[in-house]
Order: sequence, then structure tokens, then C-alpha cells
Amino acid sequence: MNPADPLKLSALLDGELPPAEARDLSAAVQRDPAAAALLAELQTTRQVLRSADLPATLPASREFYWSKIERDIRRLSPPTPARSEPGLWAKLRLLILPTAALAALVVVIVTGHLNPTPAASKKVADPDTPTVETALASTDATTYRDTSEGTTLVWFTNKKAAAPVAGTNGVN
Amino acid sequence: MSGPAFSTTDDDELVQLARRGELAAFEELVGRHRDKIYARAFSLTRNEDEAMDLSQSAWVKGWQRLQQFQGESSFATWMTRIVINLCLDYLRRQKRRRTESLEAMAEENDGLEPHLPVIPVNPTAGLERLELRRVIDDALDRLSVEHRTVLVLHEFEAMEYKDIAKTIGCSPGTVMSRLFYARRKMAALLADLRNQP
Repeated sequence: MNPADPLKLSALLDGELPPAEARDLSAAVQRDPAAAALLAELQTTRQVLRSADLPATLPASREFYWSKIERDIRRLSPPTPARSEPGLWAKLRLLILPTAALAALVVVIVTGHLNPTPAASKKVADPDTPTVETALASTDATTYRDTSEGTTLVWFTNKKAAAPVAGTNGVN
Repeated sequence: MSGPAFSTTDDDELVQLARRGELAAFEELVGRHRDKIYARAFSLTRNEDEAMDLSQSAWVKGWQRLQQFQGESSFATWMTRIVINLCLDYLRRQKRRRTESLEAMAEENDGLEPHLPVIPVNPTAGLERLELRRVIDDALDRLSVEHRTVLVLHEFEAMEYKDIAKTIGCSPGTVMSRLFYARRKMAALLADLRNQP
């Protein structure tokens, strides 16, 4: 063996050498009684140590030992729960909600342009000119307002009877 | 303590409970593995007080890192790695405090020649179990930190050279060399201590 080989005896013993190198070193050890004796010593020492790893007993009671750990842990925040991967529904919801909101906005804008409210179309800039406002269709009400006279008339249409009912100053 | 509530619960389930903040589950894990974790800290530091402190710190760190435990090894093995790393950090800090002359003594061969006389027989043959333990304990005490560390990691933790190298921050070749000299030194110490009262 060359001078470096003794160091490799430990590695041979531990199966840490490449196969070819292990074969060569094993062959060399068989031809060399001194190397064989050294390998035997290393092997004995390894066996003695491995058999000696007896479990050491904690020199403190379980309660005392745990109390310090618990105190330190309580000073800390609890472990952060792992962030779970969002499910398919959660992913879809993330996509659907903004899309739906955008679509709703577009619908409002488009219908606003295509079907302007009668009130908006009949509104006149001159405050002295009487205005006629047709309120939302669902209420079936029409308002006549003359600011110069201080008069406001509201007609409520009874669809069933098809006969208008009149009131003043927004009452009724 | 956690009492019998978790006595039939396996480690994996306890880990899951502890991850959700169940401290009693973690307490049960500590109760089950405290001796092993302490033993590993003691084998590296050779000091009861330091081993106690470091092993307790390891449990706290384990609690903090529970989310990182992937289950690739057993929980006990995972905890053992944590305590080993804490002990190695502690030993490095200790080493930095030592004088240069002391540091120089901790070279790879620890003053040993590779061709020291071989111990031809098992120096511990015939010793009673307790006596064997005393002799080995004394021998481990007398080893350098570097030699003791590779012996503990390889013989007690069954770590491969590359894993030891990664853990202590050196090359696998250095591990091989340290292990060789550590075993030789250990054989000589065992033979000497055997003959001491």
C-alpha cells in the first residue's frame, strides 16, 4: 500500500470507496498483515462504539424539562399554518367575480346609452320652463313641475283601470 | 403533561395536531423522544447542563419549524438533526473562544501518526456493561471535538460521509481522514482506560 492507503481503510470498512478501489484495497490488505491488523483494530473500535450508544437518561423530570420548552414556545406565536393550494372552485371564483363585475358595469353603461330615461330626455335647461317627468316605468307615475308657479302635479296611472289619479305636491 | 390522551396516537398524527397549534400533542412528542434528543446533545457536548439547554432549544426550534417537516424521515430523526446542528453551532462558538494554541491541537490527526502500534485485541473485552460504558464515556471525553463529532455522527447516527461533510462543513475526504484518526485514538484510549481503576 502507498502511504495514503491507511486512511482509506476506514472508508473501506464503511463501504465508502468506489467498487473498483475497494476491490484493489481489499486485495492489498490480504497481502499485507500490518494493514490487515490495522483494519481489524478499526473494525473492533467501530463495533465497540456502535454497541455503546446506550440511551442517556435525562437528568431532570419530564415536567421540569417540558416547563422551559413550554414557556419558550408560549413566548412565540403558534406555528404558522401551511398555506394550502387554492382549490378549483376558489380559482374559478377568483376569475368569475371580477369578470361578472366588469360585465355588469358594461351592461349598465350600454343600457344607459341605448335607453336614456324619459326624465333625462325631457329635462330642459331653463328653470322657468315647466317640466314633465316620467318616473321609472315600474312606478307608473308622471310628474308635472312648474317652478314659476310653485306647482308640482303627479299622475299615478292605474294600469288595471287605465284611469289616471291626480295629486299635488308629490303627495299620493 | 399531556397524560393518556395521546398515548395511542402515532408520531405522524401528533405532528399534524401540533402543526395546527395543539401544544399538548407537541408535549407528547417531547415526552416520547426527549431522552434520545438529550443523549445526542450530551454525546456531542459532553456536558449535562449544555446538553439540557441545547436539547430544550432544539425542541423550541422544532416547534417553530414544524411546517418544514416533510415526513421524509421519522420525526425523531428530524429532531435529532436539529439538535446536532445546534450542538455544532455551540461547539463552533466554543472553538472560536479557544486560544490559537488549543485550536492547533485540533488538527486532523490530533498528534497521531498513522502507523502507531496497532491494538491487537478488543480493549473492552470482558467488561461489564456499566464498566464498558464508563470507559467509553471517558474515552469520548478525551477526544477532540472534531474527532468526537465524526464518530458520533457516523457510529451513532449512521450518517454517510457526504452527509457528515455537509453537516459539519468540510469535504468527504476530511471526514474520512478524521474518522480514521478518531478510531485510532479511540482504540488507544480504550486500551489505556481499561487498565485504570
